[in-house]
Amino acid sequence: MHRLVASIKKEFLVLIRDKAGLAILFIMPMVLVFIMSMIQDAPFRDYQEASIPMILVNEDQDSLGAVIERGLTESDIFEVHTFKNKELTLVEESVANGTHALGIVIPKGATQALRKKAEIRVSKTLEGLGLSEALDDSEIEQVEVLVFLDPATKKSFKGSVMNAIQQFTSKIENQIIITSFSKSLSEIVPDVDTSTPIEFEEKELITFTEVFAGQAEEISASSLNSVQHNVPAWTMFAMFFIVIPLAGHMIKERDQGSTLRLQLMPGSDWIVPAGKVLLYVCVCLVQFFLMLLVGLFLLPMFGLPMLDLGNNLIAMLLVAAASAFAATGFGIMVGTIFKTHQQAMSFGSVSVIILAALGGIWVPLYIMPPAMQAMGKISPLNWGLSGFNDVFLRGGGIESVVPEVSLLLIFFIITSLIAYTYNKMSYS
Amino acid sequence: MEHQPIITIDGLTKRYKGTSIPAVNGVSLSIEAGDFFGLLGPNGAGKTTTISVLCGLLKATSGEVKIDGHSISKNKEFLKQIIGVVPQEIALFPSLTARENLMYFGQMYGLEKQELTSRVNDLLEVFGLSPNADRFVETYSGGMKRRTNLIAGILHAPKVLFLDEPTVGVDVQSKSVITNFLKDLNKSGTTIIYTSHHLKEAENLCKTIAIIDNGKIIAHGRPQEMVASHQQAEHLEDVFLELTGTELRD
Repeated sequence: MHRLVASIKKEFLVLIRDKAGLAILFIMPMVLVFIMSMIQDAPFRDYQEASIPMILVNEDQDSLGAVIERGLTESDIFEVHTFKNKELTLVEESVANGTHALGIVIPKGATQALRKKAEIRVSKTLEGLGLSEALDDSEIEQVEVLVFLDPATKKSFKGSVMNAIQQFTSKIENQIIITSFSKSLSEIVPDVDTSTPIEFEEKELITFTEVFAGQAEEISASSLNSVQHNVPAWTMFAMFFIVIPLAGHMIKERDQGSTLRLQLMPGSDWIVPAGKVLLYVCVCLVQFFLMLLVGLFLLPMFGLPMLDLGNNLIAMLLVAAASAFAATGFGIMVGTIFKTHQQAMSFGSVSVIILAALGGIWVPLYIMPPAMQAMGKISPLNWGLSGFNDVFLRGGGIESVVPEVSLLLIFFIITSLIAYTYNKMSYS
Repeated sequence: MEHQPIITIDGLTKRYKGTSIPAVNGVSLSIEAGDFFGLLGPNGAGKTTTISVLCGLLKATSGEVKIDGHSISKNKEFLKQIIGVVPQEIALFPSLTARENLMYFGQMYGLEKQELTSRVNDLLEVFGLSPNADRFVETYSGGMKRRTNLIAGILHAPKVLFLDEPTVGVDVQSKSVITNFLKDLNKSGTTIIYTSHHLKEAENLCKTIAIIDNGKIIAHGRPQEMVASHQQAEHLEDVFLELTGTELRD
């Protein structure tokens, strides 16, 4: 046992005296997570919170205009800039130059036209029943609500906006029809008391409850924002970037001959690699805790949301430990297989960058094309990130991270076996 | 007094992958316990390959090697405890101090801390390194590194010590300290297997010598007897040149 402790101590001393290695391990990832979180904050807000600036010209100043204005304001999706009147060209220009993503113009008399249309419909219905004469509909003007959209607007967004406007319109249309029907009815049947206005029940007959699909009973309310994505993402990147100092030290030791001396020592087949694995797993865990501190304390100081750790710290630690083992196994494999420092550094850094890009570290996997999303599943960085997302975003517990933890540990075993076999082959 | 052989090599052959000519070709030797044995030869003759197989760093293609009665292919872990190796490279961690290096290697040999500390201090003193024991090895001179390298190989008091060019690139003072120490170590009973290109040093140190060329042993015996058996030779170097030729080796 004290051989293993000696081996860990030696690795520790070598590491803490490697200033460049320490910078790569601890400073670089913290700087990266800080910069990336700051840079991606706005795009994440756009994507997630979608506080979209829009212009609303409410020339109607009656029921329809009021309902649409209230609906848009209360949706929390738009930042509504309202005007009583504005030239159409100015509204169009404002959308075209990107000041507003959307422009809606409700024309003057829109509600009045709706009312007239409703009265005609009611009169036609009553005429069919032989109760009154139908009104003349020849002078009804079409109500045209103008919607200006940026040509770059996504189809899905355009569809949602048009649906929302149609919903507001049909709601007010129904109210007007019922009111008109009630009025006509009171004229035909004077006994009916119409002095009390009809109250429209706000409660919907069918309600929709949004439930985020998750495996835990209690679901975390946090949504994916820049901090929630970047802190675990760059933690995974930092852990796998230990390939640079780890493989670098291994090749240096081999070049200097100390590996040869260690091979001649009893029990060295497993004690020396075990010492490296345990030390670098600890290094990865220190990286992990430092990154958490950045997410919990530093980023909120700069106006970003605080990192939400979810509800299960043990599950979080399991993912962190499994990721640390996977990253260390990868570093040892690279340090064993590659002959020169330059080869290992080039392969190590490029491979981690590729695995990071594939694994959704730079941009979340869910906004990638389907083919890239499928490819991303092969990256161990994605397994770790997905495990953290299970805990942080979906409120998952130990059971929910078992698949990712298993994959990461299998990756560690495979990379370690490759390194061991390669060493044995060199011996023979 | 007749000594028992501590190393027996029988028909040792080592062929590297992708080569048609074996680096070591059917070598058979017997080295007595307590011997100071020199394995000499020109570049590429097979010295390092032979030593690497004897240390267990390389697997022999064929043949049998026994150290202290134990087959090296079957008792590798046991043999690691009784052999010491001082490679030609400075096999130390440059960013550790000499004391940290030696304590680490000693612990890897399973030595208890108290015994190890005392042994490290003694050896640092013998080799004149005590005043600089807590300096990083990367700041050492060539001679200091070479002396530390030697200490790292003998901390666990091995029965058999393999030395590959132990005095290469060192000043006269360091060389003197190293060779005197090796003589004393050998007198105390440690069998030493030594390779070097310094033939005068080998002639001075070794009790027995084998000259290897093209993977085969071409001469074996006491240095003085070898010189005497060659009429034109005054020194071991003359014998060496006569046997291996004057053609350049790369």
